[in-house]
Amino acid sequence: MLHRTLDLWGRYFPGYLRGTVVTLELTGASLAAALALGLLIALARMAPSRVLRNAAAAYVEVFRATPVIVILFVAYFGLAQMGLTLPPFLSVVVSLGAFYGALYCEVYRSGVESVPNGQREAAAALGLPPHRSLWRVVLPQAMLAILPPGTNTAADLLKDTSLVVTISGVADIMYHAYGAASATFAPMTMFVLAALFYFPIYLLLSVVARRWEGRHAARN
Amino acid sequence: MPPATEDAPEPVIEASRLCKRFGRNAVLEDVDLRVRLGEVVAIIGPSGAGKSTFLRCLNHLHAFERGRLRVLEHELRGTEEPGYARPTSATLTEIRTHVGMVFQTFNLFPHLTVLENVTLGPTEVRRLPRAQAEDLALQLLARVGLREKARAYPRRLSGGQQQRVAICRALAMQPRVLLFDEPTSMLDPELVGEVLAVIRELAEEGMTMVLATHEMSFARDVADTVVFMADRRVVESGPAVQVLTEPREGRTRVFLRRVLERAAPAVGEAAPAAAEGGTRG
Repeated sequence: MLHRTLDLWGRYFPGYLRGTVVTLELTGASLAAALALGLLIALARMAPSRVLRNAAAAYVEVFRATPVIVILFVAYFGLAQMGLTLPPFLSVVVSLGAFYGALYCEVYRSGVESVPNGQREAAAALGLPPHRSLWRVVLPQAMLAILPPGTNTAADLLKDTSLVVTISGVADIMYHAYGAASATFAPMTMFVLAALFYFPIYLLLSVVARRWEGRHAARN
Repeated sequence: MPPATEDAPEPVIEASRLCKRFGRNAVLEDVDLRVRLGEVVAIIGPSGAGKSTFLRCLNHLHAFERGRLRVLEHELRGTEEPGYARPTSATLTEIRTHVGMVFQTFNLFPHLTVLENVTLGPTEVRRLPRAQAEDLALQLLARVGLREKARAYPRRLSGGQQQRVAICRALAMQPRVLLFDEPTSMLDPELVGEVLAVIRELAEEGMTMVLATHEMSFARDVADTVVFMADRRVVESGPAVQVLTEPREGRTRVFLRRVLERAAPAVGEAAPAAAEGGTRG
């Protein structure tokens, strides 16, 4: 049994490794989209205009309430029916970006709100306009409150990239695992191997984040 | 308020009939104030009188609903006054560059060093080159005895040191007026003196200042004018010694008696010395 497991793992290892690269690409692109979109929505949610604030709040509520796989199917199958065909990779980036953008909006917002109002007042009293105050005074302090939940959210996003297996066409870790499980009739062996490939990515993510957190904590 | 005489310097701040609400709660009603160049005005009064809110109206951290305010060459109106126009961000920056503020809770930026706290305004707003801003900051820090703390972060400093840095941060903008919002109320009694000494020195140099304070003996020594506020209004104002020693209004007398009693619980003789450090709250 053990011999067969190791034999199978050895045989499929290179495929999983190629899949890991694709998973990393999916995670990186989706995370970048989510971080950027989240920032835009967060800014809109804290904007002076009530219309912008309400629109941003509605966006967050709608996307938080929708399962990621539903968003992915709408982006891939739904939009195609409307005449807009997104390549599978892009569909994942768009749907994870849209869903996690809503989550990051809330992460940013609670971070910014954790900074005492006296800090904004002190910056304003020096004559700093609001956007400079946000950039130089509020955000650097908010980072301390943003990083821990931000890291957790990124870890969830990493794991949700595996949903791409449902639309096929992107050869990530899960795609190779699925193929290997079908070909060998050894789903336990092949899916456990998939888990073993996700783990180091998660570990890397949390180590980097904890270092970064440490640097911010030292300064605050 | 002393009547304007022929040779009195121009007022740099003139508030007339200022009214301010938070939601439905009125916090200022018909507050008048005139501050002349070089004048030191102390605003005294019980907590909740509106002192802090009034100071925040003067540099427009708070908008106000009614009345008019002239700050240097800028004319601001209440948001409900006819002809109200929201001040442009350039106007606000201009006002805040020339009207500095020191807060009760210091509000230093914890993620920046002492030096960076003091250079942030000059580099961001006055667009001074970094080297020049740092020179200026180090000079100011040396004046308040904190030059060796330039590279430290604020949390390593005592309250008194933090407040002295906050004063440097305001001075680095080279303001024409300084507002102090109860600058010693959050300090341990033994640290109050070092902060008051810096403010006293500024007064001697002729800095125009408006300070909300509970330090009665300090107000008497340093202020030219004392304004007594209670229940959202100015009750009485006039030359410092007159208001503090021979107040005209009963409300002022009651307040001063209470403050002095608390400052010197038993020994009447010790009142002025104790008032320097112990009249908080």
